[in-house]
Amino acid sequence: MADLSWQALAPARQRADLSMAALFIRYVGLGGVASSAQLAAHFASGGPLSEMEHDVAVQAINERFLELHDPERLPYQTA
Amino acid sequence: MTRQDGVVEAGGSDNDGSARWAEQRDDEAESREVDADQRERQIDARERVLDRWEREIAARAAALNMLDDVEEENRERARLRRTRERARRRDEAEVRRDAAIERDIRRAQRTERADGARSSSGADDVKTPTACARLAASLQSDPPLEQVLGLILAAGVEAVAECAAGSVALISEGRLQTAASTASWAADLDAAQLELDGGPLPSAADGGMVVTTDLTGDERWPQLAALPDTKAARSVISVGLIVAGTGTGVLTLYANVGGQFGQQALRIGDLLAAHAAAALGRTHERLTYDAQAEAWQHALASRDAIGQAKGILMEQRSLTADEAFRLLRDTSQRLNVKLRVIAEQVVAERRLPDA
Repeated sequence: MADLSWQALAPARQRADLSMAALFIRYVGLGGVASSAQLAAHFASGGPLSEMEHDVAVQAINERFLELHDPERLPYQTA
Repeated sequence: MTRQDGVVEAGGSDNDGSARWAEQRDDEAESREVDADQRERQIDARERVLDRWEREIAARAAALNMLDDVEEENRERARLRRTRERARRRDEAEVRRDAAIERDIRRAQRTERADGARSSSGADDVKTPTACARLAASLQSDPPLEQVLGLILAAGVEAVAECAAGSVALISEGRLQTAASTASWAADLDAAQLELDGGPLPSAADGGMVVTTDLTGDERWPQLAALPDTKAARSVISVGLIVAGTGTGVLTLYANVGGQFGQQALRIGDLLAAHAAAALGRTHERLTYDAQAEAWQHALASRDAIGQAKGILMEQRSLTADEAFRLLRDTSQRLNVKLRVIAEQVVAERRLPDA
């Protein structure tokens, strides 16, 4: 079955009050290596992104939830 | 007889045609220069995007150890070339601005000659371009926003005969507040309108121009009838200031009691608001740039610490880079602490923090 975990990213990004530009900066800060276009495509339509890079983006959103004292956390793809 | 730029402009009735020709020539020059400015702004914007992309690619290549020295040297040379080109275009734009100021002054002089015995309203025709020319000259040094707003309002009071005072209110902490005014009573009238949520000022907040000839008697805002009779002003023009499609403030001109704003004043109000919006746009751009630069600096420092921590864990525990990241990530989640903080502890203590 196709992995649809990307679909959770965009709504979570909005709940975390992060623009795509702000998210990309945080993603690079955590060691992400995909381009901003690749990241945007992954968020918008599940464009190709390795599980590792997906998880770095998840980490960026989860850290924003942490800043907002919001208990919500997105699950990671890799164990 | 006056000669300017090789053009004869005489003061007799026979020479109305030559004055008209000079006016037309100045209008054409202005239109050409507006086009040139616009073209160059587009080129600048394109090149800034190109620079950003290149830096992004270089940063990623460096992170992946794929940076080719020769390629990077070529990119750096291209970036320098673009920077030099931008500086040249800025110099040219400055020359064009100087020419525009000279044209404004020439127009004022032509109007003065053509209208020897002016009525008091005719005098505004001369005061307006002169005030605007002075304003444009002051703005060349790109002063701070508060100063720019003061200059704009001073030009308004000077250029509009009926105008007794002016103010600019800006959105700060989610609500409009007076940021500059030429008289304390103007700031008080701003505050009263905002507090009672009625009047031209709050009504113009989303853009456009709102005018009244009787601030306390206008049936659109019955709540203002409770205001004590405003000794200083009844007629008011408020113009919304729109930056990047969003209402960011309102410029207001207050007329003397008994004075009503004419068509000329409405036009000047629009002109001043355009200046104020441009100044706000520049400030907004600068603040956005500063905030982004700070965010990138923070991100790069974080990336560096995480890279070092991964290296330590990879060596100590014979892990791959991805495994080391997952270990840091899981520790971060378990302790509810940012990954960067965990990484800094690993770098400082050469071990993962205790649970």
